[in-house]
Amino acid sequence: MWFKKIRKRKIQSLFIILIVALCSMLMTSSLIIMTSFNDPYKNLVNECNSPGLKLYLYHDEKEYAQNIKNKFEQLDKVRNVEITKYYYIRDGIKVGADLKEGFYDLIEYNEKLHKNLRMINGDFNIEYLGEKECVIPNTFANEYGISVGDKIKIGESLSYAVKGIYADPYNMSVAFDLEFIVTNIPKDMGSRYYLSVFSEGNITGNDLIDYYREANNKILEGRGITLESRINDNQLTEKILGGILFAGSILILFVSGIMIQYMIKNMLISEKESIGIYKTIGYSNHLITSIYLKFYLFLVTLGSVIGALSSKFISDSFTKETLKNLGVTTSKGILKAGFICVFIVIFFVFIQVYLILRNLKNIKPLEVFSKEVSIQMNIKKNKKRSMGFSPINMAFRMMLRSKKNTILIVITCIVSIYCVNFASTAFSMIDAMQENNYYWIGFDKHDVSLESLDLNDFEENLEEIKAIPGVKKVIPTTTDVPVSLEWEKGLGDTIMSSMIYETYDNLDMPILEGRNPRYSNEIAIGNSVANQLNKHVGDYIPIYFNGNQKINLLISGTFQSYYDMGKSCRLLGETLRENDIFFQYSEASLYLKDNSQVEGFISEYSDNYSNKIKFIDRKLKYVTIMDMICTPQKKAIMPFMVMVLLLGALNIIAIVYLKNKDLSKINSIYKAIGYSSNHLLKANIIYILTIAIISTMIVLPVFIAVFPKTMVVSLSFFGFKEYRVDYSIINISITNMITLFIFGLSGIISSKNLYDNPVKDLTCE
Amino acid sequence: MSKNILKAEKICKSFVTDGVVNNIIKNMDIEIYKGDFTVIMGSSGSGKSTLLYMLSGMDKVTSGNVYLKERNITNLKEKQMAEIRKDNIGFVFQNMNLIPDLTVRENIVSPAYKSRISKSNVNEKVEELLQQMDLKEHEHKFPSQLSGGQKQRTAICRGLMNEPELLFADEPTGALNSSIGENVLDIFTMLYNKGQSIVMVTHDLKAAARGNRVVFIRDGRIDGELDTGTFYKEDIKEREIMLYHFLSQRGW
Repeated sequence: MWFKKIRKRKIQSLFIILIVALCSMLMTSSLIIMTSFNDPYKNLVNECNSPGLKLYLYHDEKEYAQNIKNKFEQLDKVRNVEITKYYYIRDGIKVGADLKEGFYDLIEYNEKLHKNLRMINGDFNIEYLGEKECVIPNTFANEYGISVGDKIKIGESLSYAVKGIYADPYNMSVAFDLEFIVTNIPKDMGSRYYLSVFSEGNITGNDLIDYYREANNKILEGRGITLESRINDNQLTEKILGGILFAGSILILFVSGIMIQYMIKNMLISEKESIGIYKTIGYSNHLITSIYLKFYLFLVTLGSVIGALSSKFISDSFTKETLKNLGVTTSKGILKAGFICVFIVIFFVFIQVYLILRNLKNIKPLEVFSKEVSIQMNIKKNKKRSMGFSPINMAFRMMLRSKKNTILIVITCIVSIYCVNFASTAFSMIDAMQENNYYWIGFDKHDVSLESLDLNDFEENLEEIKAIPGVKKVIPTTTDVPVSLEWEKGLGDTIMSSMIYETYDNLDMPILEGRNPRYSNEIAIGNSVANQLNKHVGDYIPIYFNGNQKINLLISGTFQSYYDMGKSCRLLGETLRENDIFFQYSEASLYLKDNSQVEGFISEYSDNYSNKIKFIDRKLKYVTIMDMICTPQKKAIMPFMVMVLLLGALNIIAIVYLKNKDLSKINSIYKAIGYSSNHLLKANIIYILTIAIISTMIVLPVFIAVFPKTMVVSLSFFGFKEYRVDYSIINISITNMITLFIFGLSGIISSKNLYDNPVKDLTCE
Repeated sequence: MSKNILKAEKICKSFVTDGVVNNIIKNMDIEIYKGDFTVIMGSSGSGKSTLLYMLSGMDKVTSGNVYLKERNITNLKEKQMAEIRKDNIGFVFQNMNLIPDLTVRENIVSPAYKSRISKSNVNEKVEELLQQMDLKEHEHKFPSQLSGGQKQRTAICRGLMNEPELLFADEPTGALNSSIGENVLDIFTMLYNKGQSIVMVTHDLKAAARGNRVVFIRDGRIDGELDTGTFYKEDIKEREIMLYHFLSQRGW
């Protein structure tokens, strides 16, 4: 019997299925984005037999590496330690004529380390690598469309043919160092060493660091990258993104729940006569309720399953590339996520359905058949508020006298408008992120970045460049000096990146609290570090250079940054010199007198220093980090915005359609006394648009106040305390105009039944 | 005979239900004259209400033409038709069809929006109707707070608000008890006496006796007409007997 109801209530059934499907689709896809990499990573770790810890040593000598290796091997929990020789590629990799910039290392092949790598393509016996052959990470191959047999070029003289393409957990993101495996690193290249430490059983990388420090006076002689932190960092963007989408989907599910409640209420009103008949012929409340419950359970289940299945189309656009980098095509997480979401959606919606259907017992056959309709109106109030019959007046009357409808549309509008503004502003922010990279990465807003390709003459060359007419100033900097925090058990990696500047005076370099270092005993630290150590401006902080050289510095300020996951600090060059710490400036911030001349300046002078200094437009600096943050978000926002708008429009169509159906007779009366369908349509459109405009006026100030806070929460991992938003009036205006247009259009679509013949509603037959 | 105000030529109305064509009105010609109180009678299913809705322009004819004051209104656009209904036609339904969320006053004034009646005259007209129909003390009540007679009187006021050329009434006493029905019929008589053209569908003999012209319909065709002359309350019995004979001869 319940199945026949679908035939009778086709439109309502379709609305419920669509609304539930969209909620389920959004929720499932967000959960898939968050969870679908867990198993593939676990499998990859097992398959590759990846080390729990990679330790990048402070000193370059092989003996030093051997010494640390020995110290690790003395620990009970350590199974094996391997030394890897590597060369940090400063000047990018050329693929054909294109220079691909990023963080790349050339590493020497080591059978114990590399024999289990997951080979995606090419020769699986990489131990037979030729002198001019290399094996490259799948992430790099996918990013730049490189296949086996292609050639890559490092510097001017070094060229390798790609023999194979591999995947391993440490080489999954272009934002971190990617390793190119070769047989031998040429002797004339300054190479360094890192250790790969394998543990026994379930010992993690962080545990290994703790054991080592406990056994070695708390000192770790390098920067430790643990397997768990690398896997976490690789998935960070997807997790943030999935989290935001999941929160959005919960919000939308809540609104859709209200919508479905409304639809069922509407159904109960229109079917109360049938229900009354069922009751008179002996059906119990329980039996009638079960008929309707089965009907709605079927619709909700169908909708949520369709949504969960089709969520793959959305989640695929975010997970496809990472899964491809992992060397897998699908993830089993989809089924699990789908099942969980279907359950959540069904459970939630079913509760809403049940709460409404409980009211079936209030339908009394006698009252139904007598067709008495009691309308509660405040007569005194209406004496004063007699309105006319223009479309505007009719719309306002609808608003004031159909408060429930109005409230539902207001809720739908508020949620939809908020989500659309959120998506649109986030999109424009992300679009401008690369241009504002100095704010997000936390360096100074200069015009041209100078990167040394030859450290020997760098400072002399800078002096020359300073003398070029048009150059305002040049500030030497470096990020090559690792600084570590004082170790405490459980702290894990103590290394933080440093930005060392010759001076911070008169630089536009955003700071959260306090100021940048002015004196040699001062340091500015990342907010995430300050939070982790519970340090404030004015406190002293002990920091270590080269692992064991301790200095106490006064915290002059805190700042926020995406750089190194927010774990960074700012120091003056003088601080290092005063403490006899060897360092060389390897970069510089160049300021032009006329900052509109950046391109001209670069093209005019970069050739003069072609092998010595790389000239980069500041806006293109750290492009890989910015890409890692921005690209997935950009991909996420569009479908999110479309889905939110679609759901909002669907909800409005459902509300107005049902309202028109409810008011079908009244509309027919209006038509009978001389009102045209267009007149009634105008009233409907004004009704919806007025509510939408009022909702927009409510939402916008709230959104402007809440959006930065929401973003700060979602970026709290990086230690973000502020989220500077440059609201674009044009962008906000266009977004809201489009939203209003879509709502208006929904009103028109749902008002189609206004054009029906009025006679059938007016006759008694 | 006075000039016709409404004329229908060879009108047909058919419905298709489950592939079966039902011809409700078959090739009918009918004229409605100015100042007449025309009563359309017929047994259940004869097509009298369908005819009324077609004549009033609320429903489209399947074929044929309808002329209102010599203007062919058969194929007018929905908006033009709405204008005609607003300015020329009033309608009273059996089940009143008042708008539940409007007060009595609002219901009455509802057709006046952008009508022939000037804005300044609207209030005057409403007051006149409220007084005339004895509804003044109920003007701020909602339909649910009215009795059946008050509701129908409100509906009549609404039908008269724009001073229509023609007032259509579909079984206006059908949902009322006899004494209230009588009262409503008195109002129709009073309107007729004032010169209002009325077309009423009914199957009630007492109601039909109020008209000066009775048209009997059977199986979608006009089966006969009776000119009953001007109504006087004293003659009611005679008129009812005359009507009864007329109808009996047609198998009513």
